[in-house]
Amino acid sequence: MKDSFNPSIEPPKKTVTLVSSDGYDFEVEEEVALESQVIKDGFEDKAVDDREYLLFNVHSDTLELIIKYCEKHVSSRKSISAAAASSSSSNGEEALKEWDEHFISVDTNTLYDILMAADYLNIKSLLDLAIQKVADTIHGRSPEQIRKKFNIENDSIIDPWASE
Amino acid sequence: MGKTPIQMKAVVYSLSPFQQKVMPGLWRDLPHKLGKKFSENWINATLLVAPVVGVYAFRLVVLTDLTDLPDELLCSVLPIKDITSWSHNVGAKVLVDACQSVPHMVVDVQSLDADFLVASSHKDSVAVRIARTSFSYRMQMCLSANKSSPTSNKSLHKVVVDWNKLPDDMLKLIVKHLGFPDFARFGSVCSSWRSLASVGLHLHHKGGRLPWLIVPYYDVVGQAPPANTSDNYCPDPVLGFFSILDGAIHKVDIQELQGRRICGSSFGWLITVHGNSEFQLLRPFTGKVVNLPPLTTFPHVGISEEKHNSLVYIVKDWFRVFPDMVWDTNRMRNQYIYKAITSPNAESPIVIAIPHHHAMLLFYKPGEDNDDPFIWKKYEVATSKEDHDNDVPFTPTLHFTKVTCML
Repeated sequence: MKDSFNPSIEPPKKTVTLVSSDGYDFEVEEEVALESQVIKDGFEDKAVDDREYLLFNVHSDTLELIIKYCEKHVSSRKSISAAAASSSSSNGEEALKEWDEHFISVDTNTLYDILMAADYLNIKSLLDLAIQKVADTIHGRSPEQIRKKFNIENDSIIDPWASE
Repeated sequence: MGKTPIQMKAVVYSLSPFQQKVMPGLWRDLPHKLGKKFSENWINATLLVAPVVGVYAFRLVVLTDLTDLPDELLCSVLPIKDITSWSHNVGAKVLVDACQSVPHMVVDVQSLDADFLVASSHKDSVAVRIARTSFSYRMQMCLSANKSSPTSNKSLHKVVVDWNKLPDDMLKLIVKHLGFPDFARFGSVCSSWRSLASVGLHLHHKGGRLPWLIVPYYDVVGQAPPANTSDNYCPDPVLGFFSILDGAIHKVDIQELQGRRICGSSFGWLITVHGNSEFQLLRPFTGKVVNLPPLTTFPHVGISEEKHNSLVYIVKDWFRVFPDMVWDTNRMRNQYIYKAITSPNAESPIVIAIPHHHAMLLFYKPGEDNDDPFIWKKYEVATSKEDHDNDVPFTPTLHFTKVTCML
């Protein structure tokens, strides 16, 4: 599944190979990979036509999710602009928002991986989404519940709200 | 790995003019250093020797197209491509230290054909964050795991999840999305989160913490205060936290405060009283609650009956001059406890309360009376109503009309 990620649609699309930290190849369309600002920057000042990127900090499990996210965003952006051009009403943006919400509903470990990968690859919308999710998770929880949720060890010796 | 011993005739190690200038000690005692290296660690030695073999047969080339740079930036470029091919001819592996070159020039690792390439990403180059080729890296990976199939290395390089060590800039982004009470709770999760939140939360200031002032909160500026705020009772469990630092009033919604009146505060605790006779200590942000003996355990307080599912209290006059009074739950909540303070220790708090006629202090300390631990003890009788200003010698905050909350 992982090595044969390319969905093999119309042949002449330009593709880029992303290599995860554990050595898997992911072949993705160029515009999907360009969702990452870092790849985009690297792409622009690249002299050689080299289409392989090694992502030292992104594990294959996470990379699969990230690619899924980027593909969805690229495709829905296209359909939204197409709908706007034909001036037909569409709820594409809301559907995408819903999709995002579903996408980011993951356990905190996966959320951490996505957060780190989005930061590393500089995918702003995904980083915002993950940050918002962390904030929502913190919202309304007591410190003890937050610690439990994120599996954080309480290393403070004193309770900051208590007086010494 | 197919290593072939290399016959050494001579060793030549070459450095760029700049390196020679900044590292004079490098040449001192060179034969001894090399000998030691060879005898102690032959694998490293082989890696070291490979480029040296190349250099032996080749003179260094100084790039001329960099001459417009300042003198100290002049750099030498080793003919790595040739070195690797010579080395590979004799079966040696080649490690290229590209730490200095990668930030300054395009390094096409694939065409260099080296077995290992070391570069450091902190030299702030995008080119390094995403390597231009995976060749050297994969080589290294296969060697380190001694397996060529990636499927067997599923857990390799999985990021270790540690929310505690989230970078500061990311924490700052998270904090931007938090409202004030969430932010306050965020600050007590762990030390690194706390240090980020400390400035905004008045923690760790010289000379102790700055207190917050609890004020009524109105959504509309200039709105009239709700009725009976004179008793420090707000029907909505919403408080304003006034920060002396920035003059802002933060809205804090405390659900635990629903139906309760704040009758005192000390050491970060709010002391609350409810019409159903509950008497509690409450931490405003964390929601931690410590139950105290209820109002019905106070001396001179009784329950007459339950009317329409609500309590009716009988309050006896301390001086036994007037007849017993009948109070409903609202009056009991708003007027019976005049003020209360507590000691900081939540496990066994010592609480002192002044009932409405101000004529006595009631003292509560858990576990003092084994027969009936849930009882308020009379501590001392003040002589008259006029003396009540000399009330509790715990803290001056008792004299504030608005409740202050020391955090």
